Amino acid sequence: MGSNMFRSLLWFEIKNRLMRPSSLIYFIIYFGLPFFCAAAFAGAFNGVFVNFGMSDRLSLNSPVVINLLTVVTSCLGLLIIAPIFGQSINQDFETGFHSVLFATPIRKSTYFFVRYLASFIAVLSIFFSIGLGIWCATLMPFIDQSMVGENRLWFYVAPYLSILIPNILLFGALFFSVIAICKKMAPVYIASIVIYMGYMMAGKFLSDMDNKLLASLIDPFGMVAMQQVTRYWSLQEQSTQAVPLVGYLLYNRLLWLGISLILSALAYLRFRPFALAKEKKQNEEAVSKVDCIQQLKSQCLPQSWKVFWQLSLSEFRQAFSNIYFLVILLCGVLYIFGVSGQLGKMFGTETLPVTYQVLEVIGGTFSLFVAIITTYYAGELVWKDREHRVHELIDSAPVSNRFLYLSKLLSLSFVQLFLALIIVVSCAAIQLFKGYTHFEWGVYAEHLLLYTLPSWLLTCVFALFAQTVARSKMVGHSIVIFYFIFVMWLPSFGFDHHLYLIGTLPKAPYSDMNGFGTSFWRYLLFGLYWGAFHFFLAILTLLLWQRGSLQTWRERLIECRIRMRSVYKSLSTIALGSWILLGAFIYYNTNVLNNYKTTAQQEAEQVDYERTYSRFEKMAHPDLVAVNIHVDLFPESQSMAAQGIFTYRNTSPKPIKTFLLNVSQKSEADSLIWSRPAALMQEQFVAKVIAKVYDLAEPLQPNEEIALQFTLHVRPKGFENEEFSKAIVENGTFFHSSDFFPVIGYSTLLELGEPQTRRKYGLPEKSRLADVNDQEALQKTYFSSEGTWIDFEATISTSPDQIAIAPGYLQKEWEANGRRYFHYKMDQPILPFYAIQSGRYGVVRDHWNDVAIEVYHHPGHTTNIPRMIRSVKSSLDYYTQNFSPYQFKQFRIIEFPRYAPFAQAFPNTIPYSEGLGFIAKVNANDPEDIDYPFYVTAHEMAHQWWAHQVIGGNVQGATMLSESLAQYSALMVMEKEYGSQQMRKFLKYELDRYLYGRGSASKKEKPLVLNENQPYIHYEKGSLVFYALKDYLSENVVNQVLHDYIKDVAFQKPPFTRAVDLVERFRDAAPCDKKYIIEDLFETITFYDNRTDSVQFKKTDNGKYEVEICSNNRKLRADEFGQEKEIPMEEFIDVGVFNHQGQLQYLQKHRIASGKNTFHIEVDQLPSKAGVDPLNKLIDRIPDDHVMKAQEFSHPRFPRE
Amino acid sequence: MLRITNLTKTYPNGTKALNDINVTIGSGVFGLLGPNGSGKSSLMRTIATLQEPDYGTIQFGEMDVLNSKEQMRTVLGYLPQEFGVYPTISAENLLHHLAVLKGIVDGSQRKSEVDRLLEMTNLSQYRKKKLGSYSGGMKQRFGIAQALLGNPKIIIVDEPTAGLDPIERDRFHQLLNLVGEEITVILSTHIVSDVSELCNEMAILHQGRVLMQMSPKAAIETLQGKIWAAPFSQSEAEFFAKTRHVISSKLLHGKCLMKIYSDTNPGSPFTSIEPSLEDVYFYQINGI
Repeated sequence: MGSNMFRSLLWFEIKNRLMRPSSLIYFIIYFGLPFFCAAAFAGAFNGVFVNFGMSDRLSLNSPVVINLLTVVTSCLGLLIIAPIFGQSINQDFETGFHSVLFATPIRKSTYFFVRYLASFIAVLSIFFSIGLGIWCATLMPFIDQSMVGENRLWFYVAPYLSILIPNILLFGALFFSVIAICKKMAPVYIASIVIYMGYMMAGKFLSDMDNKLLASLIDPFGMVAMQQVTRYWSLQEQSTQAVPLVGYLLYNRLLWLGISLILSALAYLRFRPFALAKEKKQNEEAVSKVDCIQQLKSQCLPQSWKVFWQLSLSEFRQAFSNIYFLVILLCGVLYIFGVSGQLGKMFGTETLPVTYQVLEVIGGTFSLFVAIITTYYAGELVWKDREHRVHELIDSAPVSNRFLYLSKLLSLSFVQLFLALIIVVSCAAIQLFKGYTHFEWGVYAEHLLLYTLPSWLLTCVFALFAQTVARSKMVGHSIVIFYFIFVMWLPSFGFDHHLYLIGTLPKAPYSDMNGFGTSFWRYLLFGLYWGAFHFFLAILTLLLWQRGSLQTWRERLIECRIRMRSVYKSLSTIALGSWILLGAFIYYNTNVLNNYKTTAQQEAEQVDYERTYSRFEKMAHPDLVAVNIHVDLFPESQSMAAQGIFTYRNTSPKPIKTFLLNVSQKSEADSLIWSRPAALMQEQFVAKVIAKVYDLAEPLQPNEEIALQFTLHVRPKGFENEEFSKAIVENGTFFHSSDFFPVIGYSTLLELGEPQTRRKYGLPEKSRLADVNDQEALQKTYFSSEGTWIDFEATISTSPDQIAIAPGYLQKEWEANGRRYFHYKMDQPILPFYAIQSGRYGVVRDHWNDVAIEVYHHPGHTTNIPRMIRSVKSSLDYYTQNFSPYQFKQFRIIEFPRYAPFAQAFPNTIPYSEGLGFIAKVNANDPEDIDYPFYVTAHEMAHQWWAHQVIGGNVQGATMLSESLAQYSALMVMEKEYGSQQMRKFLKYELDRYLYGRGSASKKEKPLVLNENQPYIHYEKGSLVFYALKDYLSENVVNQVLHDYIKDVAFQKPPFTRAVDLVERFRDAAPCDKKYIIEDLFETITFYDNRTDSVQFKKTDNGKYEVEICSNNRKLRADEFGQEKEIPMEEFIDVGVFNHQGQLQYLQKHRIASGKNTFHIEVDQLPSKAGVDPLNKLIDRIPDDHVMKAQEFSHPRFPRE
Repeated sequence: MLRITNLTKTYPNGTKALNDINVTIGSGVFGLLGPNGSGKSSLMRTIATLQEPDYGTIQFGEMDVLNSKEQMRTVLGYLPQEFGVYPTISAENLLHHLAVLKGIVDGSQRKSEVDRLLEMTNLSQYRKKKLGSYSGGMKQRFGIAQALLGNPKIIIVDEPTAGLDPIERDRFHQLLNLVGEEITVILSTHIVSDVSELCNEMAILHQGRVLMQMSPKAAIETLQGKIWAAPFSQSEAEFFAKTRHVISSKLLHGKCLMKIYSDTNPGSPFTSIEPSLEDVYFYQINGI
């Protein structure tokens, strides 16, 4: 009987829920989203490349991909969990049915359980669409079939069990509790904001590896925890295993399960169906507004601006008596302070809270709350009066629609202005809190008033428009939310033009050096463009304003026609007219002058380039041997005029008749004159260059030279949609030779790189880096195909207040015609790789022996210069002592705007981004804080040896010789300066990134010595490998090998050296019993699985301690897909014992075999922790199970005396 | 037999909604008459188990209502003063749902019950229509239909006729009268004619107190010969109001018809009139 009733009630609820049209719409949306994402992942759409950070070597239906798509979509699904669970109780109170319902003999428990279960089933039925959507995508004929593997049901079910169903239960319980206690929907939506906040915060916290556990726990979705569980998975694991409920993910689930249980219990106990709702206050507010209108009415000033002003103020005041507004605001502020500790973290080290940084990080994330508040409050403004049933009083007052609408718009703008103030106050508080007192109020004002508020204002207009058009608040909210999703998602699908992304404005990145640069004018034009459009929207809103009873659309249109006065007519004509005119002007700039291309068009051109010109790849061309340029920079107009003579020589053994020259489309060549008759056979604008094919009248014989004399100029051409010229700027010009100057030969950089995209266009798998034994490839360096070593000379002129810099030594500096000239010349051949910079610099000079050290910096950025100089000196010490002499007499660091986040090593010159080391905030008191300005400088400094002295041939492993060795060199300098403690932290980050990198890269993983320009291998794995090598062979031996190697190969002529050659030298230098390590480190992908199982100790008779360590050890080899195979091991691995001060009191290499091992060690001090490979020197996928706490024995093996 | 003893309720803001209420209600339609804010709805909600009193007991037959709420709810039909419905659901479906809640689990039994009530309340032809489209009268009839579900032994209707047009009101009265032949019906109202038309027993509630309880007929009897009336102009009326026990003064054809209470003949221009239930009501609540 009872169960029958239960079933009957449940069925009624479910039917009630699912028979609504909204359920069908939800179902379609949550089917469509994963369907399109999955299809995009599998390359269904041209120009759309979506990989969600996953390797595209995974098939679409591999468990990790299905898992991620399901989970991400279900997170968006919070948007329906909240209303469905919330409405399940709210419907009774909203309609007033509760007074009938609770007089029936229904039990509270039945009521709760039926409603909860019905909501759960309803949500789950809708979410059933997610898996279905992905599955359908795998069946589509238009996706890349090579990305479809076998569909296995379990992979679709698993994410439901581990994430999705628990989340519905958790969030459901949460929303259910909130609605049961508050009996209003708004707190439910706030609860969902809090949930998202937890997720966003977790993401921010992850930038510091020490926060992994915290980050995993505070994300209620379990997404972050899930990513932690799968972070080090190889591709092989990713394609065969469903995500298990273990570790962080398990803790996360348990925590949130606990929280929701407590909340549900609380809600159940506190639920009072008839507690009186507190509505009085709001009614009072409404009445006060009516009063306000009535009063004004009696003063006979009904249409004056005073009414308008009073109304706006009254609306604005009401925002602050609205508890939900305040709660959302509070959430935002809490969020700001929550993440402020993670400001710009790199290697766990923060940056200085410079104004643009706090504004972008803090203001950027806070803008989400602004969007939420705007959406919410626009709904309140339009619907509040109606909800409180005072609209008939207000709407019958003699106040015009214009004032009603404009007062709401104005008060919404006031709210935003207030929020902007909150941002300023919070940001300044954070700066102050961090001890940074260089407040730049002007930058604050510019940022917020000029670049932030206008776009918020556009959102206001849109939100009010949406609410006016909609026939209920919920529909209005949905329109606004889908608008946000629409403008945020479209760009990632390749539709990124601001001409049609309603109300979006191009970014205007700020740099301390260059301010907002020229992006201001573009920003202004787009602002006016959308301003005009939104002005029209505002008029439309006014014409459609719902006054009195809600009307049908027919009635509204008739009403609209009546309201359409001539002034509105002409205003809308003006608005639409200027919208169209501005649009045309923008279109002319972005698409005609600048040739805007969608991603798909760009890809097509790249394919064209490859198909047409790849025949030149294997064909010899004259090699660049000398560069002499004269560059006139005009920073104030972002333009340049340049002349140059490039000398080429035929270094091949055969005569050359035809060759290819690429001229950048960013410059305009005025003349290109060859010193010998050459006919232009073909010329094509393609893939951002003008490809020119020349045919020499007389072939260039071996060793003969030919010179190209060119004049070209660069002038800004209008503006682009999102990109803007970062090369020649008002202050902080920085460009590469290839940015504007002609480049000879086929450029592989212009080819399509992504394997998936290549497949789509039917291109063969990209010719990978040449085999180590490819003799032809060894004729060129991996740096440039233009030539090998060149003579370099440059004369640069710039504004009189700027300094211009190029590689080489300053020969002469002078002023003429109101301009400043610099003549640089290099006294020795360099690689054909140079950059030109110009800016208003302050200069810090120092020297090391007879080497001049110069740092050209933005005047405000001096904090870290001493660190950089110290690093330069330590590096010079170490490198000259251990490797070879420094080849230059000078070393320069030159700051450039933060448009790019790197430093780069040119001969004797290092352009260094202002966003990288100049604003780092290294805590000198924290021995663990990694001094990355020091590290980056040492790394770039090392490139003067490992790139500019020793350069590898263009074959596999070449980057090991530059990047991995630069990492090694920097590590050694850093270790000397900061000790091995910091190394451990640094290497922890390196291991993390390597393990993550191999699971998400799209190219096959190669051993270090054969790596194919794969950053996660040559940087991160390189650091780990060389640090271990040093440990096994000793620093002296490694450095001796490097010393001899440099002596033999520095400034080499073709054929160039290879990484395998260096590794052979290491093998020779290694003692016999450690030669195996060379194979493990360099030549294979080897992992150790070292685990300490128990650590016990007892005090011995002589007052010492005997420690017993039991471990389990394995060694594994992985193939390029990550498939692992265990191999037998018999080798030396560290065993260490820590004392209670955290210092190692024992560290020795023991011979360790596969399987279980036991060690007995005697130490002097009380042991705290001990284990195998305690310093993580070997690459191990589970790095945190090496060390265990030591426990006083209880083991029978140590009989008690 | 419903017996209410010493029922008292004070709201957190200090309002004494129920002040030592003692009422006994037998079968038939019992009228609870009182002005707005007199505590009628509080009393009704308390009897309907939806609100806890501070003191007092309610006894229905052998049942202690306040301590066996669930048992009470199985014999209760309640039509609240204000109630809502799910606007997108048809009357028939919602009645079925409520029938299940009242324990009618058997499908065919439920169907015949629902059909009978829809027939009885004249809603049969609108049974498939969404409740959101119902007029005020139809919604009120739906309300009584749901209150009658599951053969209740006591029905509580809280101001059911407010806002109904005369025809709907009449129809509603006939419905209540029909029901009241068998079971206890408590009708709360501020409209005197509701009581005089329907009830054989009544109580007048004012400021949380029961001022009197008897049959309307007996109540009228008590004022026999003590009500006097005279027409005045409005200014004269104001003058008289200060010196007499005025029961009511109403406008009639532009003149003020003033009724006063007096044990003896107040003299010209007052003439003795036949007392009505309305006079009883005003006599009670004006505290004469």
